[in-house]
Formats: sequence, structure tokens, C-alpha cells
Amino acid sequence: MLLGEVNQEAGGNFSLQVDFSCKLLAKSHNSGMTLKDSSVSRRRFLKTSSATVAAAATCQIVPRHVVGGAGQTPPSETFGGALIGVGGRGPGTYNSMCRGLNVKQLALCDVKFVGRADNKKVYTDFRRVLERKDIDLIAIATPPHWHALISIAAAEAGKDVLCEKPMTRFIAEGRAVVNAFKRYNRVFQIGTFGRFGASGNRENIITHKIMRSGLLNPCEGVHIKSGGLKVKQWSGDPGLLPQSAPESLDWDFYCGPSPFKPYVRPRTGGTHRGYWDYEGGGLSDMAQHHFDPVQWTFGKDATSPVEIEAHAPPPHPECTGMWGWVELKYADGLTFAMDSREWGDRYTRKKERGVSLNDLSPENRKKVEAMPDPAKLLSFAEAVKTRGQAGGHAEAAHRCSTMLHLANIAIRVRRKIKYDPVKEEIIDDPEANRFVNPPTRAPWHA
Amino acid sequence: MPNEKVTQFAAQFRDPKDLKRQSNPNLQEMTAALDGLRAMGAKGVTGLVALLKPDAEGGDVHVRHALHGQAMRAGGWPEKDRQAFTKALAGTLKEDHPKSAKGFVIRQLQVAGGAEVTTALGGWLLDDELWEDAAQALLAIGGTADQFLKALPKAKGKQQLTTVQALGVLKINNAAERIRGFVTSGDSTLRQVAARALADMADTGAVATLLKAADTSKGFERIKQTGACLQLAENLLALGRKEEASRIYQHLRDTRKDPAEAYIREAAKTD
Repeated sequence: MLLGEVNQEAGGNFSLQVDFSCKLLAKSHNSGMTLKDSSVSRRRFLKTSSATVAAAATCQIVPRHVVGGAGQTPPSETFGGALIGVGGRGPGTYNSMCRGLNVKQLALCDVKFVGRADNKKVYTDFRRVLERKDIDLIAIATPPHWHALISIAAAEAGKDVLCEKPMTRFIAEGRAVVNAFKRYNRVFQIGTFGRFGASGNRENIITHKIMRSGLLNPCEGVHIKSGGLKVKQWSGDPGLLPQSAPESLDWDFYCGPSPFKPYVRPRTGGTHRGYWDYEGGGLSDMAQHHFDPVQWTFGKDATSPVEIEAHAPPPHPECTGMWGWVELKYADGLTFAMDSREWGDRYTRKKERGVSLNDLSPENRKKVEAMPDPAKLLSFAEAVKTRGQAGGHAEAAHRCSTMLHLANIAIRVRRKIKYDPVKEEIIDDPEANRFVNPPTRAPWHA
Repeated sequence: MPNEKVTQFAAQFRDPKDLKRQSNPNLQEMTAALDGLRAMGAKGVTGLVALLKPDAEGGDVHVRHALHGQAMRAGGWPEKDRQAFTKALAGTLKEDHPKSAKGFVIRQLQVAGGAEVTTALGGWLLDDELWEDAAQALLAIGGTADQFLKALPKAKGKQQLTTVQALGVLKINNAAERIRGFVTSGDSTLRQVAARALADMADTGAVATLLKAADTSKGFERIKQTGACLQLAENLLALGRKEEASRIYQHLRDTRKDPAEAYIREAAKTD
């Protein structure tokens, strides 16, 4: 629905080709949007898409709910798909959603499509997409301040969702996403997949079992993410004079639940990452990639750190900026740390330390060795087909996002904070706790 | 006349673009500047606010950075000091400053303010430009029902949406009767915001109203109104109001016969 993220992770510009035609669908299970080296620009795509849309209109698919029972799989096993947020991360997110499924792309939505939307295939308003009964699967690749609201609305509309990371802009909306997907029994998968590989590694499985057993307490394990969090690259550009928003962009809709601010170009198109109104800089973006599998390995998918401390300069009100390190401790003593290597002091409080069976008494070691291995994580496709829980499900994604939001809160308040992982509140610091659930702009409310 | 001392302190806050270019900006200088401003008391606050410029003019990045840096620190101060800071800050809202500068001040009160500034903020809930900033600050501070209830009768358009949503978030039941009337308004957005607010405040008197709204609406509004019904049922259950919650679930199971709404029937199975 929104200006999608520029694919800076991939390191540059790209062109985009989308084909709604049945011909393409017949050739590929991964129908629809693909990243290609062709010279078809996004602008050209939008001009030509109306023609292909007309062709697609003759190709009807049977929505799975029409003939499906509890599993809701129609004989054709074809799913109607939509991409909301058609920017740099859009193609990758959409293709991730389609992997292993036969998906017919039925809609593209972005607030930058003003004047181009036909409300048949191309939309500016995600609500018009979600009310379509022939769409089953939604890929969300907007900036993060829209992730939770669109995910929740999609669940309310009975859709399954693959949502680009980071999952949320703040902690409380993550809990709202978890609740919505539980309430409607829909599938949610976060758009980072490292845990699927990590959970197949024998060493990680042993660590996972040790941690899940609860027998290692206190735990002296330390995991440090050193560098690679794009702190400078994705810090914001403050103090720019207001500009006129492009005519093709619905700026008010773009701001959505976040505070309405005058338009400046860096607030869109990938550099949005550097503004607190939309995201939390490189930390919340890149660290979800890094910590999602680590969180699985250390068995922390259902809880959060209890003490968080950071080394950072006074924060800027609008823009994410520099920080040195963040330390996050769990109730059992496990420590995660982030060392930016881009500003200030290095993290030297603790050294990296793994967890092994040798940390346990012989008796406890036997107990852990007797534990069955964790169940294989389901891919998004497997979860959609079986109505099971995807490996990167909402609770796990929320807990990982929470870790990163807590890191950013500690960076902003520059004092040690204590967190209650059950109530999901910062303890004894009402001002810091305001960042857990900041108000949103009406009518948007998770 | 700008306070020279304040100007000097604020100058220690460089444009973050400069921070990017330096591997190690001087944290000590920034901290010393904030300490110096704090030692100046109210003058340190009013002096900074006086240096704020309109959004359209710019050139005050360092001032905003310093003021925000101080607001973020204030939460960790002794209560008396925090209040002295926020009272001085709120006092500037009565002065002759640009509207966008006042918006910035309100956003700092959202970070550091408490009960001592809610009356000052409440006065801005019906302002044409600053109502959203004021509403968000009051919501963040919490315990601010009186301000929203006072604004509700006069609030129109987006201000009305903001006020109704806020009353729901704050779970102010004594606004429920008035808000129930909005569920049948001619404005689709207001209908949805009102329904969600009633669900948030677990209004037992809204069960029939919300079910009817969900039954009679179409498209996305039907999705959201049904969502409000389920949210209301969950909130009622949490309060031990099983009978009203069961009524909602039973109704949704009985009426959602379209295969496209099978998932709603499933969601309404609570046992």
C-alpha cells in the first residue's frame, strides 16, 4: 500500500516487471512479480500493467474459501495473492510468499499510485484489497509503521500474511498482531528466514534443547552481534525544509498511524529507516535478520530481555543516529549484545560464550539428551496448506522485534531499563514505558 | 534577545549529519551542555524554546536536538526536577512562538510531561493545527480522560475521530452512551472508530449496536465492525461478563453463513 522500501540491502537500483497474465501463471508456480534485469522500469510497468490487467480479467480463479473446507484448499490449489507496498522490498517479499505455492497475483497496492490506480488490479488503499474475497495471501512490504495495522486488518479479513521485517514500529502493536492471528487462526510469517537454516544445525539444536529445558540457570551464555547493523547508513537526515509531496503520493496516507510531519523526500523510499516515525534505523531493520535465528537457537521465542542498557549520545527527536553498544539480559542470565563498531566505546563487558552440555550436571545432561528434538519448522507454504504455525510465526517475530525496540528505547533514554516480559511493560520508568505503546493517529489503531 | 549562554550550550549539539562524518563525536561536550542548561533552571528551558524556528524556516536542528535530549533525560530525574522542567516547557505554550515550534514543545511534553501539564495540553485539543500533537501527548501521559471528555462535544471531523479513539484507548466508559450514537453516523470512518472505542472500553451496552453495525455494513467496514464485535467479546470475557460475550459469539456463528466468512464462525467458537 505504501512506498515500499528501496532495496539497499541488495545494493542498488532495480527494475521491476509484473505480469498478471494467465500465460505466465501457466509457466510458473511463482506467478507475478519477479525481479529481472530487464529495462522495464516501475513507471513503465504501471503504464503497461493496465493492458495486462485486462487480459488477466478473463482468467478466473476459484478462491480457496469457496470450495475449501477446514483446510480451505480448492482443487486447483491456486491462491489469490496481493502485494501491499510496491517498493524495493516488494518483489522479494512477494516471491518469498509464493515459494512452494501456486499463486495468482491479483493486486498491487501502494500510496504512490495516486492517479494510476484502477481499483481492479492497482490500488492505493489497502482496505480495498483486503475486502476482495478472491485474495487469500498478502505480502506486506511497506515501511514498518504500517506493518502491524495491515497485518491485523488482513487477519480480520481472513488472509494469511508474509510481512517484511522489522515486524513493527513499537512493542504493543506486535502483541496486537499476535492476538489477531491467534483470534482468526491465520498464518503469519515474518520476512526473514535464517531460523529455518539455524534450526537444522545440530549444535544449535542442542543449545535450543538445553535452553528450553530450563536446567541451565543461571546461564552464562553470551552472544554478541558485532558490526553490520548499518548505523550510519540508516540514520536520518534532519532539519530539511518541507517540500511538496509528489502528486502521485498520498502523503497523509503514507504517514498513517505515525505523526503527520511535513513531507521531505528522505522520509520515503528506503531512507525512511532513519526516522523514528517509521522505523528504528539499521538496528531494528538488520538486527531482526541477525537475532531471529539466534533467538530460536537460545529458546527465547516466548520471552524477552529483562534488563537493557546502552551506550549512546543524546538522541535526536526525528532521526535515528549513532550508538555504541547495547546489552540485553534475560531472566536466566543469558546475554545478547550489539556492538555497533561505528560510534563511541566498544562493548567490552562480556566475551562471547556459547552454551554446551558441559555446562550441565551429569544428571541434567542426561535429561537434556533424552529430550526429543524440536519439531521441524514449517515454511509459509506448508503452514498455509496445513493450517499450522509458520516457523517465523507472529509470537516469535514479536519477541525478536521487542528485543530490538527495547534496545532502541535504551539508546534513546540512555539509562538502564527493566522490562517485564509477561506484562510487556518497562518497570519503574513511566517515561521510558511510553515508547512501548506510543499513541497512533486516528483512525489508525492496532 | 536570545540568551547567549543557552545559544552556546545548544551549539554543542551538532547536526547528526556531522556525527555521521565523525567517528567519535564529543559526548562529554554534549553532556556538559545539557548539565549547564539544567543548572539554568527555567531559563535554560525558555531560552531553548525561544531559539526554535518555524518548520518552514529551519536552521534549528541543534536546538531541537538539545531540547529533546534534555526531555529524554528528565524522565530519569527526581520528580521535583522533572516537574520543574516540564512546567517551564508547558509555560512556553502561552508565549508568542510559531505554531510548529509549539508542536515541537508539545511532543517533548509527550516524552517528559506528567499530570502537571495535562491542563495546559488540553487547551490545544481543539486547535486547528496542534490537536493531534496534544492528543498524542495526553494519551502518552495517561489519566487524561477529563481533557478528552471536555473536548468531545465540540470536536468535529478529524478532531472528533481523534477524541473518540482516545476515549476508547483510555477506556473511559462514561463516554460510551454518546459514542454509541456515532456507530450509526453517516461517516464510515467515524462509525468504525466509534465501534472500536466501545470495544476497547468493554461497553456492555454496545453489544446490540455493534452486532447490528457488523451485520448491515459491507466490504472493509463489515470486516472492521465484525472485528470490533470480537474484540468487545474478548474484553467482556476478561471482565467476567460471559453472558454478553456469549451473545456476540452465538450471533456471529448463527449469521456468518457465507463460505467466505467461515473463519469468522471459527473465531467465534470460544469453547
